[in-house]
Amino acid sequence: MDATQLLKGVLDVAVLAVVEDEDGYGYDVVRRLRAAGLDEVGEASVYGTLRRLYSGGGLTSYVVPSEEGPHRKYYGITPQGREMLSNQRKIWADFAQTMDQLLKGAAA
Amino acid sequence: MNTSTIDQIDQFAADVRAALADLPADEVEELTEGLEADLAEALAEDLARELPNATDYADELRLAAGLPKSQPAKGRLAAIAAEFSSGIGDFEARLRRSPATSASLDFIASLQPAWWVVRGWAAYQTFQLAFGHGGADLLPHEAKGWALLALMIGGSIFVGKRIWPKWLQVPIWFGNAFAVLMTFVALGALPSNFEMARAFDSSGQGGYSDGSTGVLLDGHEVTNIFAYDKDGQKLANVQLFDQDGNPLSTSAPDNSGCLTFEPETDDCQTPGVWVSTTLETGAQAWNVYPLSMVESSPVDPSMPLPEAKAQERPAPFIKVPAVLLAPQKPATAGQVATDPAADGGDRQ
Repeated sequence: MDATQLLKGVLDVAVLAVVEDEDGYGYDVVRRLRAAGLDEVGEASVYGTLRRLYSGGGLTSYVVPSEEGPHRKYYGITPQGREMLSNQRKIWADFAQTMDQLLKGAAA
Repeated sequence: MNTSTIDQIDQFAADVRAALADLPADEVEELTEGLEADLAEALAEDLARELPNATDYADELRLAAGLPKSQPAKGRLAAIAAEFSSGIGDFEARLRRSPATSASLDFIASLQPAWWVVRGWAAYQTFQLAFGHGGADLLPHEAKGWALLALMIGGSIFVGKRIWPKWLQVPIWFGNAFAVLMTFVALGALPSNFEMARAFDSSGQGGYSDGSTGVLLDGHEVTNIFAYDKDGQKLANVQLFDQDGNPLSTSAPDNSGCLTFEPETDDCQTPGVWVSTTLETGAQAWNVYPLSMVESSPVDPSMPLPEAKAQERPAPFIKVPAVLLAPQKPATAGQVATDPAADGGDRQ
């Protein structure tokens, strides 16, 4: 098992979590995820996830023109996104606890 | 960041978009907006990094966004289309390598919406030629025509905004080529329509001083008029007026023409400008025939040469048959001529 496989299932909640407090553009979100320890996260996966969360109503987006180069597309969380995040936090906490216990039990 | 890196990023982004081309255009736009900025930043942060494979990248993007996998093109037409568009792509990539041609490409790309409008207009012109009543005008005159034009432009924008499957791109290319052709055809018919509209306007308003003058014969502009008297001898300084008393002016003031032509090619050898005639009131008249011409500067054909003198234009006939002035019998021809109601009614 490798971490990239695990990551796929939780990328949504991870992305929502890093834009919870501050809006971010594509690469900015990648950088936050990597800074949090998810080194293996693929850029295209993050951008695709942002797009899907946006289509699902969890994120808003706006374009900020840049004078020196191409413009940036920022994403921000919506109330619906916050709701999704809080639900998934609970689900994750339960799941992680279950897995912790299971793996501890298996090790014992 | 240097130019070649920017070019590489642009090329990569273009390849990614091409790999997503089976998706609706707005979806591709949403998915890849800001891609260049993100890539530039990622590359700036890690200079040793190389750009990934565009197709793999597009697949990852697609998968994460929950969009369907790309459909491989099928059939022979699709294969031809794929080859054709990859040839275009290669050509574009070659042009992109130089900053100058790359900038030109960007400029051309920025004109795309205008092209959509022109293409819609060309479709309207085609429709008018095929199903309309005779010649097409530049723009419609009635609500129905405007609605048709709006529909055509809307359709053209729809075709332009969407990214079509490869097998549909070849017919669109042919359609575009046809639209370009139609645009030239329609614009070629334009000057005569325009002149007619001008002549119509000036006769309708009864005015001439605004410069909107002109006389047409069978749709062609009359540039000069030669009058002959009852003996068939050429007359000079004949003042002509229309039925409403408007001066009959063939050319607007400052209208340039041609003084002498190349004998073989009929191209203009010496440019010239028409000159007006001064009336006793001091006014300049343009309805005194035949008009003379003064040689003008080859650089600016509307500027007469300082030393040049007005020259008479060669008359089409030295002499024409004299008019028979014998008293006419009250025959059928005389009947029509003496019936002003029948003659003048529809000649306005």
